[in-house]
Amino acid sequence: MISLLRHPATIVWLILAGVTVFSWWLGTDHGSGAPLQAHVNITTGVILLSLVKVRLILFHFMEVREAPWQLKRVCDAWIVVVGLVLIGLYRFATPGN
Amino acid sequence: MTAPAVVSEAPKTSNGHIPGETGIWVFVLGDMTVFAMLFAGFVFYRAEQLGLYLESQAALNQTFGAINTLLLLSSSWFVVMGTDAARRDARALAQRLFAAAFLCGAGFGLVKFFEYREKVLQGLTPVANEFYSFYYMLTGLHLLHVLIGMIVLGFVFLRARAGIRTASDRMFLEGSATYWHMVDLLWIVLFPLLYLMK
Repeated sequence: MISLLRHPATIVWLILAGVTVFSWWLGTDHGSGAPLQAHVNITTGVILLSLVKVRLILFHFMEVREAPWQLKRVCDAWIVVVGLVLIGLYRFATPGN
Repeated sequence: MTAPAVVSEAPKTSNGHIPGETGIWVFVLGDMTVFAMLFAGFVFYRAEQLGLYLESQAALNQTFGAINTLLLLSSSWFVVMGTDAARRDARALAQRLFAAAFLCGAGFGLVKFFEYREKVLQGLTPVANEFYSFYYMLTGLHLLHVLIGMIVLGFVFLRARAGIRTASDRMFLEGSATYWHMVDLLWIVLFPLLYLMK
């Protein structure tokens, strides 16, 4: 049991769960009644945090960190492209943002 | 001349090791890209009817979404630990960990059931408006992936009893684990877009 808790994946899980709870708090309670620009920045932050979580899952749970460099770069490219598209559409296509 | 294969350990080259096999990664990255296009579609159409999307989102239960995120993250942790145990030939422990991962998946399905039930009873069906069309399409497609993943985990559980004896056993285990983590990964992006985006 102790060896399970000492496993590096346990630390990754703790970070992922912590970020989830933080994003949840950011996205729900925080900033109600705040100016629109604050919401836009908070949402951008929440999307960025989700992509950080995606990278942790890919590299640590899906073992991409031990994979050939080609797979690492394809995964990184997916994260960067998805981040640019989602944040780009959110910030520039949404009226008022 | 070949050395006797230690099949429970992944073959490693100087360039690294692909978990499972290349094919599973083609599938996983393809599936991730299809979902990414759906996510982009959601953000694009959201911009056209921002008021409607924000108003509809306000009726969602963020707590259900967050609990499900934690359930999938935990199930992924169990799968990592189970894979690790299977590689060390700790078969009974591996089976317990895979069973726990399966139960987290079942918990996700149960929470989803109550969430859908709550929405449908409020009259918020897939035809209610465009937001709910996206909501049911994205979460439904994802739930289908969860259900397929649970069937796969069932097989992983059964095969863990015999241990990793062949290269194909190892590839099945790693490929299944990779698929299950992808299901987790997709929810990690889906949750903030549907539930938290303001």
